[in-house]
Amino acid sequence: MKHQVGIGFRRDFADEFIDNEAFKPDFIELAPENWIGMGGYWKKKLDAVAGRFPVTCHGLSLSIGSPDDLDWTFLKQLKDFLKCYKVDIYSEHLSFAKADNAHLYDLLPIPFRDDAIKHIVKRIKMVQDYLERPLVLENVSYYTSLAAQMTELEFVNRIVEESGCQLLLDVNNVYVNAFNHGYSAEEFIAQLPLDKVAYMHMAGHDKVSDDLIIDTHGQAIIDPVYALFEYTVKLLNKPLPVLLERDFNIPETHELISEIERLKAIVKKHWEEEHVVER
Amino acid sequence: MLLKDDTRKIQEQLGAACRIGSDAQLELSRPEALAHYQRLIRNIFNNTLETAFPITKEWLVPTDWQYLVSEFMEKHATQTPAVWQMPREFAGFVTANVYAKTLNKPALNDLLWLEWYEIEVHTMPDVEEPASMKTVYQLNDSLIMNPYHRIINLTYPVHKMHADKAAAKPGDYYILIYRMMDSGSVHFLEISPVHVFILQNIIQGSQSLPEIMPIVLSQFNFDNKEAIQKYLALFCSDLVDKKILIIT
Ligand SMILES: [Fe+2]
Repeated sequence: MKHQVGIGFRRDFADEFIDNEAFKPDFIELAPENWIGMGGYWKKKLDAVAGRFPVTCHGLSLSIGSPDDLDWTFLKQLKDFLKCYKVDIYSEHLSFAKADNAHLYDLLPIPFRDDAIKHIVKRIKMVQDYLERPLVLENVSYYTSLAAQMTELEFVNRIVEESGCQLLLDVNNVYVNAFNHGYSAEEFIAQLPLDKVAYMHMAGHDKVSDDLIIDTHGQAIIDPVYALFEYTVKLLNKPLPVLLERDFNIPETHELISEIERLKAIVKKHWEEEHVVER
Repeated sequence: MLLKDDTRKIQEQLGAACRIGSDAQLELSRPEALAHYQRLIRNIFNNTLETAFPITKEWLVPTDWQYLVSEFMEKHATQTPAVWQMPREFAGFVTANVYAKTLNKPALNDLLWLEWYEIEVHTMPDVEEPASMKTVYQLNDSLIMNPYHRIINLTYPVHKMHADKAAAKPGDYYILIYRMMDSGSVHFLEISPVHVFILQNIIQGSQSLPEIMPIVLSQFNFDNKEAIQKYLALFCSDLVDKKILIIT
């Protein structure tokens, strides 16, 4: 699945994956929580699509940064699901979605603190041991830091270094965070452990005020994010799967196809030319 | 414990602030962002619950609906990691805390559960499906039940009339909710207590109607065996046609 471009699979345009011959992402990504335990009509659709495209999984509720205990019942179901759909890459968010025994179904910022790092590193190792695979964790967009005692960069780097996890580099999230928190997106990316990046995300966002961008996945990718992506691709200098995220405000399929094409052109330009003997 | 108590507390405070919508004394680099998190999370709950309960949402006045969502977010700790299953917890929460009484909407619980069970049957995990060579029912055929079903008991007939009208007709209503094995579509069928009894016996183990008849007669005190058996055979035949019952 190296140097390929995929797209998030959503019910909203499920039939396009089955019926539209022109719509040929290299792989699809789905949230296991939305499909575990589901049968019937939608399971049939999922199986039809999974029969046509390789599947990666991007979880929502693991809540690796949560103060609450890991949910082993869920992890068991997850492991079965990943096996059933022959999933190579299982990624999650470096955030928390559960506190005080309640799921919030959104990604909240973890305090950038030393004790949180130690806590999360231990949990990552437990999850990796149980799932028998590396966890791929995403740099999330956040709209405020929470009682931080270090920078986001130090926090992310230490998590990756101390846990041995891999990184899902969401280029749009770096763009959003750099804008919202006033740092340089390029410098941030250049200082990440790029050898640990296993997977990439690209998406659109919404600027809700002069000084705040919300990461909605509800718009087309904007040019500055493409530019940041190209910059990152050059730095990475190795072929990786790239995923286009589109969760809301779903456009005509041809618009998604052209976004995928544009991403493909960028990775081909920088990765294929330099890796002709790869495989 | 590697996570220090104060870090844990900070995370719990942010979580609580998002659920309750309150201002929290949190150390935030951008305090105004809290409102965005609150709005985003509220939207997730609103959208998920509106999608699951479109009829209930349409029926209640907006302030009552929003009141229920707020109460749920504040007072219930959602347990499922799958957001699409969260509406089941909402129906349970509303029922357990007698909001039907608070809002003076007697049919509220029944309507919520009817809407939820439609989702539940639609998404029930797939199992090995029984196949039948035979499609025309005969009296001595052994029958089994389509595995994708629920039989529910309602006090108010919200399955066939507006919930306010249904509130004036309390009774004992049995609804069979079932999913077609081929198309996956979900249907409702109102059935009688005798029908429920027959189906429960069939669910317990493949049986033919004549085998079940003796207990039906004693249970319901029927005198005219033949008439009752004929009536129930028609019911079975209809359910075989609808592919709810399968001839083994
Ligand atoms: Fe992402």
